[in-house]
Order: sequence, then C-alpha cells, then structure tokens
Amino acid sequence: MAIEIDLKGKVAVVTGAGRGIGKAIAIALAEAGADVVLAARTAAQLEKTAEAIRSKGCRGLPVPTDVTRKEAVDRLMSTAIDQLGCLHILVNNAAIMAPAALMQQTEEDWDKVMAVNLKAYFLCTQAAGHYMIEQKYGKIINMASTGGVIAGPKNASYHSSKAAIIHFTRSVAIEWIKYNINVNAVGPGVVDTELVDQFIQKGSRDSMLKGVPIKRLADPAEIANLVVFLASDLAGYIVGEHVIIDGGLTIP
Amino acid sequence: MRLKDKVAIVTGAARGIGEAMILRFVEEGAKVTLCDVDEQALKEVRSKVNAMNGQCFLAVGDISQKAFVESMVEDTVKTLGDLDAMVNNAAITRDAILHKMTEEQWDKVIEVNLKGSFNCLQAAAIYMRQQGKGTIINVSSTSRFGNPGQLNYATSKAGVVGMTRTAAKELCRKNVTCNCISPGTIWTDMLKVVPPEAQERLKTGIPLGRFGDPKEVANLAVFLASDEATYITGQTINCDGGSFMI
Repeated sequence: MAIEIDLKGKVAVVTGAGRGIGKAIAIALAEAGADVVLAARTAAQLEKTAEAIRSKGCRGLPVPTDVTRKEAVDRLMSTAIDQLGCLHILVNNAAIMAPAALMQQTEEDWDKVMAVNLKAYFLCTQAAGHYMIEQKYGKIINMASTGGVIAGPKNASYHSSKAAIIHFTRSVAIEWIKYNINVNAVGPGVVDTELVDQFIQKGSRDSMLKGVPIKRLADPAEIANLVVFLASDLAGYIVGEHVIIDGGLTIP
Repeated sequence: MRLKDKVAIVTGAARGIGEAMILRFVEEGAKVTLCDVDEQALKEVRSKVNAMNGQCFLAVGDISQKAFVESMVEDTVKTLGDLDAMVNNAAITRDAILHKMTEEQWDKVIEVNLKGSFNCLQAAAIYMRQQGKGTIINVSSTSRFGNPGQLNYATSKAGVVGMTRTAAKELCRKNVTCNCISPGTIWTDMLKVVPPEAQERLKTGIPLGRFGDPKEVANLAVFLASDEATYITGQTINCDGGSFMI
C-alpha cells in the first residue's frame, strides 16, 4: 500500500562519491535500490564506497575520474552504460574550496574552483544528457550550497561557483523538462564532513554553530535523504528548484 | 512506511490537495485528523481512510476561530495520542480585480488563509514546544509572486511565507521545524471551474506542460513530515512544474 522510495532498476552516477556528502548520497541511493557509478579522483576512497553499496545488495562501480576533463567525463558515462546498461540519475556533487581574501586569491586557485565546481557540472550534465534525452527520462541533482545564496568573506570563488550552479540548474531545467528530465539543486548549509574540519580551526566549531538556529551541523545522511527524494518519481512536479537544507542558517 | 505511528492534522482535508495529503499520509502509516468546514465531503474522505484501515479523527469547523483550533489540537492529542505534523492547507479564494474587490472579499480571504493558518500554527507550536519535537507545514502558492485578480489571495500566500520563516527561527531551539510548500497550478476543483481556453493559456506558462496532480504536492508534504527531512527548516519549496524557479 505504502509507496516507499523505490529506485530498483535505476542507475545513478554520483561525482565526488569518495567521501563526505557524495559518499552518503551514493549509499542512500543504493539503500533505495539503485545501482551506483562512483566517480572521484581517488580510487582507494571510491572502492570503500563501492563496498558499502555492494553490502546493500546493489551494484557499485568505481570509476576514477577527473571530472574537469571532457574525455574523462565521456568515458565515465559510457562506462556506466556499458557496465550497468543505462543511466537515469546524475548527482553532480564533486566540489572544492580555496578560501582566501580576494586580494590574496591566485588566478590558479580561482580557475581550479571554477573548473571543478562549475565546468565539471556542465560536462557531466551534457554527457549524461546524451543518454537521458534519448530515453526521455532523467533526474539530475546539482549540489549547490547556501553559499550560493548568501555571501561570506574570503571565499568569493566558492560562493560565485555555487551561485552559478543555482542558475545553471534553472536554465537546464527549462531546456530539458520537455525530455522528461527533472533538474534540481540542493543547497546544504554546514555539513559535518572532512571539508568542514579542514577549514574550521579548532574551537571555532562552537562559534560556527551560533549562526545555525537548529544548533547542530547536518549529518551527510540528512542531505542524502533530500537527494534521494528529488531523484525519485515522487518529486516529478518539482522542476528547477534550489532546495535549501540548512537547519535555518539562511532563512531569509 | 515513512510516517509510521506519526500523528498529523491536515486542514482543508475535504478535497483537492488536502484530501490527497490525507490519503498519502495514511498510506505512509500516519494517523490523521481531517479538518474542514464541509462535513459532508469530509465524511466521504473518512470513508476512504477507513477503507485503507487508517485511523482518523474528524474536526469539523472553521480554522479562523481560535477556540475551535485549540480544541482540535487538544482532541487530536487525546484521540490519536500525539501531534507530529500540522499541515496548514485550508484556504479559500474570492477573486476580483483590485478596483472591484470588496472589503468583504479581502477580509474573508485574510481571515481564513492567514489568521486561520496562524491559529493552527500557534496551537500546534504550543504543544510541539512542550514535546520538543514536531513539524509544521504551511501551504502557500505560486500566486505569491503576483497573480492578477487574486490580490487578497496572493497577499495571504506571501504572508504565509513570512510566517514560516519567523516560526522556523523561533521554534528551532525546541527542535520544531517549520516549512512551506508552494504549489503551482494543480488540478483541483479550484482549477476545474476555469474555462477550457483559459486552462490552455495557463498551461503554456508551465515548462512541464501540464497541471500538477494533488498527489504530487502531497508527496512533498510526506517527505517534509518524515524523519528524513529533519534538517530542513524555514524553507518554501515550489512544486510547480518549473513555473517559478525562484
């Protein structure tokens, strides 16, 4: 009677699946029954995620990929098709940060952030689009960030890339809904991942929580829940949205 | 079942989106209070709930009356054991263009859509704060972005968004979340009375190329009411086939 989220028979590609939010998304998709292709630069971490997915009884296929390179991305998608037969869900998640005061930001860092956080989304979306448009079915979830909505100091590259993703999402959504492809974005607030540990000095964790009304960081699994919902047919009428999940951090 | 043993109140439950929410909530294992002014139609929804072996409580009354809302919350807790989700869905329209809108049309819409939602929000929040858990789901509308002929309705629906954000900020510390669903053009009785040629015109503004099914809005409510959505608060989510990506 109940309609649980059922992604059995679906194939998903998740970028940045080696750790943090991407890993949680990949595992949550598998818990809902999907087979998952895992992309990231580091093979060793991917294999761990793949093992977790196989333990759920689903297929987990690690494909080490530099998502900023077109030929690597094309190979990622064709590997998904060759090995798992189809491609229904794409989660663009891989992202990096290079925080710096603007006057100290190097051109190289700026370019790197834009390559991973923006161009890779374009490349992956386009490469997946070849298959999704043909089969007239697809769910694309772009991981954006509350940083794309509210600004903060010393991180202009990251914030700009995330704001761009929100509008990229809307643009592609408008273009592709006629092919039955839903494109949406998810905007996490501060999530308990290594990335956060990396950039928060010891002791400042508490001060960071002051700005979060719910008084805790998000568990990556909570972000994954929202992605799974948007990847399901339950969310078919949701198109081009940026759904924020931040414990109240940015309530406008 | 994603709402197993949860208790929810849905206002405006006699038809349309509210009815769809009730049926989806029951499918997912929730116990529900059906609230509406239309007793006859409400009883028909109750028959459907009974046929699904669902447990429900009927609250017939007007949400703009504070006393009724307070007793509805109290009776729900007494009869169904708790209150986990309050869904403020009831709303009315009294359409007219601005220079012809009567004072009564304005007052009536604000009274039900805004004050009614406030009454329910407040009564539910008082209980949920004590429990240290719960979620409130308000229903706005994409009319909030401006819709000619609906000055009263659009204003009330924009108001609901402000209510959502403020309540979310206030209730966070008590582990109570508050979010808002903003449906686009959904195939309900409100829409069925629109002339066919006007319906076609409406459809051209929807990238998805079709009206929404009440069930598609109800799916989002199920997700927001479930334990999967506990980090989402203060948000307004459009469910509109791409009409407004903002």
